[in-house]
Amino acid sequence: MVRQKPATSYDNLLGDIGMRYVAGYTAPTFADFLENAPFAE
Amino acid sequence: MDTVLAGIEVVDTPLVHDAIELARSASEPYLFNHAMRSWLFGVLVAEGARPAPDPELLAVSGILHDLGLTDGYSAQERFEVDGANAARAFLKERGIPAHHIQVVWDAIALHTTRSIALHKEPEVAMTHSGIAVDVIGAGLDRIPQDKVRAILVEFPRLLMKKQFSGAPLRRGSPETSHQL
Repeated sequence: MVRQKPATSYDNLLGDIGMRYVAGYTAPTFADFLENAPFAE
Repeated sequence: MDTVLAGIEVVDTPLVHDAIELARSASEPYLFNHAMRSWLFGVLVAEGARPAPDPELLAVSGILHDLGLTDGYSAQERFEVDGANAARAFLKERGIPAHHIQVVWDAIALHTTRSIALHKEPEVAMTHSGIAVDVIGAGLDRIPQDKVRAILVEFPRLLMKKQFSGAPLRRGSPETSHQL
């Protein structure tokens, strides 16, 4: 499921499984979303 | 009963007024402004939506959604639940029906869980959507720029990115930051 539907793994336990066991798996982080938000500050 | 805030027609009731005053008194200015913008963005996201959210419940949910990040209402649970519990107490004191309280509780408890919130009641989904516009810009491109500008003028961001990235570090216990 992590490989087939990675976007459904980012905010539940599947993300942890992906990080540990799925080669090349990455998940976006809230910190990145916040920093990249289209507001000046 | 309606009023106009930042050029947007919004519900104006004693309950909403009390929620605003609670958020204002409990929150640092940047956090209060974020709550108010999130509510207003949620109102705009909800325009034309069917089924439409209850405007008063949408207002209370958006305005109070970050109480769990404040000194006065941060308790022992993850901040979303602390905030939801605080909102529940606020609504119960005012005799709001239990099923309405539950909607607000869910909206606040799930406001950071997009993958679930978007599938729940309109108040829950649009509370999340309004917050997502303000925090990460999700859906910002679908809101007219003049309306965005009016909201930012009325409730400035006050260095929210910097403030918000530090807020979770300033309070709370680490064991509530990695719950599934």
